[in-house]
Amino acid sequence: MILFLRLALRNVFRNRTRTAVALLAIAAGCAALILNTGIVFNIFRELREDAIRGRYGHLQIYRQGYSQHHLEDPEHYLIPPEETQRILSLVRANARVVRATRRREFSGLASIGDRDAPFLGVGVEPEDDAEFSRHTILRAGRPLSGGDSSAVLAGLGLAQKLNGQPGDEISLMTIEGGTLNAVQVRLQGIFEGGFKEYDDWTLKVPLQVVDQLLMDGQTEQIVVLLARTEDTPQVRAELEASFQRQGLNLEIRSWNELALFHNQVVSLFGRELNVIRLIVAVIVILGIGNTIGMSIVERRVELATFRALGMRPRAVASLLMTEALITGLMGAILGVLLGIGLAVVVTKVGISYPTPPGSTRPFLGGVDIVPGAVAAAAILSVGATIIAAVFPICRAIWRPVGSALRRG
Amino acid sequence: MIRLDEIRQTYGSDRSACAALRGITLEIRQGTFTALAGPSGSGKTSLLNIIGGLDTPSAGTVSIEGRNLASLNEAEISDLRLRRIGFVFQDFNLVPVLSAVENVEFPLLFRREITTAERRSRVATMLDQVGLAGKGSRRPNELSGGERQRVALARALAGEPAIVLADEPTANLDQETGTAIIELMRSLNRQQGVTFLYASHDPQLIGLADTVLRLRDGRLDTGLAE
Repeated sequence: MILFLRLALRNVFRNRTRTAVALLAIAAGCAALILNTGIVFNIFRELREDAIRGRYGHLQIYRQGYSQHHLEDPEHYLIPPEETQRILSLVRANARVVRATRRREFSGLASIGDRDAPFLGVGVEPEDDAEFSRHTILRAGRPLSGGDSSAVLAGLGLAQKLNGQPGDEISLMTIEGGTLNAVQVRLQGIFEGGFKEYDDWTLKVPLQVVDQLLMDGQTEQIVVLLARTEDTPQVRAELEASFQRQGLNLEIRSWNELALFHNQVVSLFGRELNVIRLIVAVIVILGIGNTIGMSIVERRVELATFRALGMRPRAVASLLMTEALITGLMGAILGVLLGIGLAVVVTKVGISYPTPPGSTRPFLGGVDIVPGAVAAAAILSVGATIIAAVFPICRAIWRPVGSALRRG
Repeated sequence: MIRLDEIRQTYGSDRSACAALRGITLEIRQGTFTALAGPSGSGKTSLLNIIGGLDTPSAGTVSIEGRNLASLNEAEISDLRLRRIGFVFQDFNLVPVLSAVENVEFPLLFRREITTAERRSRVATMLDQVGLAGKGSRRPNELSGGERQRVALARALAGEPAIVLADEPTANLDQETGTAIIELMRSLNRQQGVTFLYASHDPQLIGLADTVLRLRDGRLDTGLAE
């Protein structure tokens, strides 16, 4: 067996120029896949982290039935203060949780001077907001802090509609149970979350102010931030089990169920990735198929001699397939090294992207080195090389031995 | 041992058809040293290829050790060649990337009943018998034409076949080396009792055979062995 492998290995390097060209083709295909996948995954990650650290957190906890019915009867799906504290205690006891905070969404009308605009209010705990807004850029003013009980932050679009600047007095009005409630607060800062629709409508308001406006002190959702995004499913399962043990009738949604824009982009680019993979595989198959075919045609007398010496067609095919496998593996290893090297360089330099659809700002991206994607590119390269070898090998082994020897 | 009955071989079809063999009937007994003589194009290679199961005849039957080749499938014919028939070619047909030892050893890899130790012992013995004991590590391009043919002969005999078919084994060698190769084959035939059938058009080399089969235009001149 060692001699068999040694022969296959030596055959691979018989025509070094041709082997170099074949390896280059496989490596280029593999590296292209690693780069393309890395770029797309980098965009996915940016979008994901924007969604998590700008809006949704990793997990959101609601009263059971909230997701399906809260639009019809929002009051019914609120969590009372004492239950909120129990939930927060349970959540914060989980070692993977970095922070958990209360939120309450509401809508109303905001006015600055003679300008007014409808807004979507997000009631937040000021001391936690910075942690949940790492992917939010503060365009003007200061972030919320624990002592700011009457300060609010407006999205860039909303601030423009109101012609507001940090320091301006802003009136907020809501209608709750048929009663008009109003409160006077100060515009402390203007933020840009990255999503135009969000920035055009959102006003971040301390929960203390929301309680004044809505007069019930209840929580709509508890938002949870984890140390690692990969832990999301496990923490969710742990919290669900914990709530069940405590008899709390709650539901949990993770970021990927809430970030619809992210999901649409992943779905779209995921399909595009598969098309690219297919194109690269076809290019490798065509390029390598020709190279392997030439190598086999040149060695037809030798292969016929093997048959004359008693090697079965299957054994000859195994030898040629082993050669293709070695070529594919070497090409894939080179491709992985090339791809990772280029990914590191490109990430260091950075790719400047224009403003994506639905977003409000351009961003500087890089190339993520994703182990699974690197392995997939290597496997695809080896697979394409093996597929490319099948046709020439079949032709070689089914050629009549006597005829192949005569034409030598 | 080898029996051919009314063997015909035609290449091409219709108008371009060319008859290489026109009804060959013969029998070669075990342990004989037989030359297949005849000018170029007389059908020597076609006959050897048919006996070795490398080509299928257009008509007629070939039996090797009592087995009709037409009744065997591709794998069985491969096995027959692997275990019972050795080949020596005019152009040596050695694998250029393997050393002399590896070239001789390679076909034995496919004989599972032969252990690694036995394989190595056989290879060493064969290279010694053909006079290449000290040159086993050399690759074909580091050997002379005569030495290459000795390696090819060792490869053909390492599997201990019953028959060795040699197609113009001396055509690419000078007279002296060619004579040495045929004499080596002759001595191996006597020592091991292997049946040799070699094609040649050199009268001097043909004269070394026990039996001569003469081919002309696809027919046997005498019909039976001389």
